[in-house]
Amino acid sequence: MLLFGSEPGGRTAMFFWRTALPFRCLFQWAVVLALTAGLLLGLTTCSQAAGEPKRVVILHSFGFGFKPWSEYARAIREELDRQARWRLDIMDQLLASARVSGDNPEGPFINYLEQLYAADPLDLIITIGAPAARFVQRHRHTVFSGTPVLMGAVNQRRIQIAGMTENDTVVAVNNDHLVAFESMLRVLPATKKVMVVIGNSPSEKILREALERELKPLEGRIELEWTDNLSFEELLKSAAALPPHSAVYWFNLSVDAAGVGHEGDKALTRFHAVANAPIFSYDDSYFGRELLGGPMQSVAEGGRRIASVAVRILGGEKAGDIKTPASDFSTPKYNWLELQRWGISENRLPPGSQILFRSPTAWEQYRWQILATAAVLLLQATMITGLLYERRRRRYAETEARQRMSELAHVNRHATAGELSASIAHELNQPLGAILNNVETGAIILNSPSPDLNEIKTIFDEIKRDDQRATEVIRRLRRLLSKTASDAQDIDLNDTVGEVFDLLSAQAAERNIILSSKLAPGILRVSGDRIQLQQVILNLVVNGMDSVVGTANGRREVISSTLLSDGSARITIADSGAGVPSDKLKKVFEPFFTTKGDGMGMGLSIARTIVEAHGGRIWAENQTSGGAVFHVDLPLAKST
Amino acid sequence: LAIVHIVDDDASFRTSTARLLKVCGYEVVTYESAEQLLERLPDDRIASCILLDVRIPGLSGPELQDRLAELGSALPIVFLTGHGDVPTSVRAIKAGAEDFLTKPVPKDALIDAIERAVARSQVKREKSDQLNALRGFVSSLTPREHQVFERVAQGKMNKQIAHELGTTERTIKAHRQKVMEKLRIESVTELVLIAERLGILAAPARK
Repeated sequence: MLLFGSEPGGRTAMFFWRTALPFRCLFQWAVVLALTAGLLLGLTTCSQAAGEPKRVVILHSFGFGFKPWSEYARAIREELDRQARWRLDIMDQLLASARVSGDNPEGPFINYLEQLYAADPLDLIITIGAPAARFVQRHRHTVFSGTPVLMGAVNQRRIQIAGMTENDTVVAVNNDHLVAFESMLRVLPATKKVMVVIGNSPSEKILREALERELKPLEGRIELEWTDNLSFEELLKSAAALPPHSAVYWFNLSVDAAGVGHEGDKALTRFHAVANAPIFSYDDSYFGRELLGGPMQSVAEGGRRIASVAVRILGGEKAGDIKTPASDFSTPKYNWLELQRWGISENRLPPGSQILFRSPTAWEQYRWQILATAAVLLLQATMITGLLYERRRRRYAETEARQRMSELAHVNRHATAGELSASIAHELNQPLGAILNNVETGAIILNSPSPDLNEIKTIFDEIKRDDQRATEVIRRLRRLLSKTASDAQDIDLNDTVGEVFDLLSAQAAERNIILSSKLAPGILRVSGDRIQLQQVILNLVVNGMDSVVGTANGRREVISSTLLSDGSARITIADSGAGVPSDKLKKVFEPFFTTKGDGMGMGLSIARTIVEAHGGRIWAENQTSGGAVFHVDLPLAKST
Repeated sequence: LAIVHIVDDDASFRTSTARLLKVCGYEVVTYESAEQLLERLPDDRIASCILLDVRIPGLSGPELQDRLAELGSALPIVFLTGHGDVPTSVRAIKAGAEDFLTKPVPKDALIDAIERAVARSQVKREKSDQLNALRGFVSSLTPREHQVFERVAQGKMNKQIAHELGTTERTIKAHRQKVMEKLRIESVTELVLIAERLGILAAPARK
């Protein structure tokens, strides 16, 4: 305790340091270990995720833009991207020597490649086209001895099988041009001449020779025109001037006779624009809007095959062990637009052919719209038919109703005339009696010794006047009873009212009824049927007279007046009768409504029908002074 | 010839009828309405008749007929109508119309009817004239004479009458002589006839 007491701080500290040292060492080591482990783990993970990129060279034959190889290259790259599980480093190299003739510049190119890939060896070389394949085969033992080689997009026959090593494999195409020609001749049996478009590069010369050999069986059947010694301009001219029954076989145009290279689609497009014959080919990379079509090599399929073989080689398989059969033409494809242009029926195409670029028919394009429109039209047509039918039925019904009304009105007029017959007979007998009197007077005067001729003259004048009077009565009656169809004419309502009053005056006198009228000054011109309107007034006045007679005492009066009111003509017929019960004011116009013992109840109904047919209005009221009043409004006649 | 009064509202018929009748020798007076005729009621003692239209405004034919009857006019009426209906004609005839004609009327039928009417009314008037004369004779009797006249007509004897009146038979004989004179008769038979025509016999006998 003393020791501790004398030197407490220092000793205690010492102790702590000495005991702490081994612990600190241990901790430090642990941290280092952990960090290292972590780092190692991290590195390992990293290398596993990324790994070394697989180095692939695609060796082109002509140029990056020459069809069909350019399309193969594109398809291969796409497929590799899709199928490969590794990071890929794909490089393109171009063997331009295939395009030019003359001294072979391969030496420096080999050197260049050697230098380029000396440090990092390649994992795979893919050649596209025959020139590239042959180039690699030529230098197999010097430059790329250890690298696997995949020869793609090459005709089987152009590979030197003997020169193939165990590191080589080939994914060949079998372009059987004879098949393509046979197919072409089946579609266009009348073909006499075929222009074969081919360029003038060394490689194309070889192609031409090969094709000539291949097409030997067609000799005599068709004439072939080769274009290898034409410049492109000459080629266009000649394509525009092909004789009838010609066809074009677009074989290969890389370099023309003028030494101009043709990349991309431009050449074919320009050619198509002027060519006066359908164009065929063997490879669907040309198959755009220009070719008619036929059996062709499928670039997409070829690219896929090459890519999958490449992936297998990159995955470790030995190239020499992979045997891939050459690919034949795929299902024939045709261009609908060109078929239309050359008038080729689809029946003539090989069975199972695919037809592309078909412009959809209106039906395919607007099926639902067409269906909907058709449905609407059908519906509309049905409705229109229905409406027309209805309209016709309504017309019939209207005509029928008009006829019935007319008949009824006629019957009503007859009935009224029957009622009036007594007064009409009276009216007629009056002038007849006068005439007879005058005739007999005249006879007596003439028999006298000295006849008074002046008297005779007066008598004749009176006879004439009475005759006219009788005629007028008959005429009025006939007019009332005539059954002529209604024809609108301009009539003066004042006249019409006056005429009815003339007809009824005798009856009124007999029944001791005062008939009076207050007519509007001038002419009240309305358009309508005189007889029918007369009948309306007649019915109203006769009704008024009947109701007046019914009253026991007091005035017996029927007053008719006409006036202009708000641009229409109004007739008012008032009587001093008992009036109409206020709840029946509307009912009186209904058919078969009657207050008379022997009435048919049609008079006012007919009156209303007539007035409404004239575009007018009829209504009844009771007068404050007693009695009923009927109003008829009729539109004034237009003009004048 | 007789006077014809034409009542018709129809001017042309009225004029022509008037002209015809004038030519035939009648005197004619025309009226447009029944009221006009009533205003200047024609003398019914002159041979005349009325030609009356059934249908005239205002007072109708049959109504005029009634009014004339009320006024005691003996003017005969011939009805004319444009259209004769049975009820109207029956009623008119019952009310004393002489005839009922339907226009147009032939001249002969018209004149026949007028003549018949005038003649009949003439006869009627003569009869009534006689009666009036007799009535005048009877009224000239004194009350005593009238009493005697009545009793003689009843067939009573002078003695009996004297007894009833409380006088002598001779006085009665004198009265009886006076009555015969005043009545301008000569036999009792004539006296009885007069009493009968004047309806004096029908009256119950006063004692």
